[in-house]
Amino acid sequence: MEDLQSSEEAAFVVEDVTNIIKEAIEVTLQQAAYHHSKVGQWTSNVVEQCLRRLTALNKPFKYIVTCIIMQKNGAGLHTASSCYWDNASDGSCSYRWENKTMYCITSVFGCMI
Amino acid sequence: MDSFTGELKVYENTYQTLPLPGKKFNPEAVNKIIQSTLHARLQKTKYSAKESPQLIQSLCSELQKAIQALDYDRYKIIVQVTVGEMLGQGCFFGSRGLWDTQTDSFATYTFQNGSLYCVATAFAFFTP
Repeated sequence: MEDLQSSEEAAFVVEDVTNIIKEAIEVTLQQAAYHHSKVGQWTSNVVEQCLRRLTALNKPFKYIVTCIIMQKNGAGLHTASSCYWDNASDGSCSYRWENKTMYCITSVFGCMI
Repeated sequence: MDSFTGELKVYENTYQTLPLPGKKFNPEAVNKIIQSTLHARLQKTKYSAKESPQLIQSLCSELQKAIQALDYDRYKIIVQVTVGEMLGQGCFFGSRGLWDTQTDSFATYTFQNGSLYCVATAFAFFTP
């Protein structure tokens, strides 16, 4: 019986996902300046664009995309995550973007079904 | 060439496509755990750039262990903890999941005191 999907094609590829996140952020935030009334919309846009493109990869994965947008103020921010999953098939990646007025940190976690 | 002469155990499929009754991820129970853990650990903590990375790493593992103790079979658990300094800046956290709404869910809690705020979220995926 032939394997319909090789293990390489079905794995979580960090590079591809990082590119997806990068492009989603650049399209949404481009040269925008931080504005509290627009942050909600930006976060939703980034996250939804990421999810759409991840779905288009057509891999047997469940995804979580989280996005943090923070105003530049000199304040510190730290993020950590702990995952209980199968290391061989599941993975995560994170991307940090900034401009003059804000930081955007986006993470994607993918678990194979 | 060695040959195997002992008994070989072959496990049959369980054909389990949904969590067993009583073993489904319960967001409320996990919310309470996150709430109590954050309150206990951070009530008197002041933000420190040097100590924060270690603090959140230990918070992550503590929350992970506490959720494991609830014994949700076949669930993959992801815990994310974020700590920030309170300096009046604006901040927005958003997340979306692509999952099976029947079996998968999340629990989250935000804690704040005078000098820091902490957002802890736990996501759970069922693996049939």
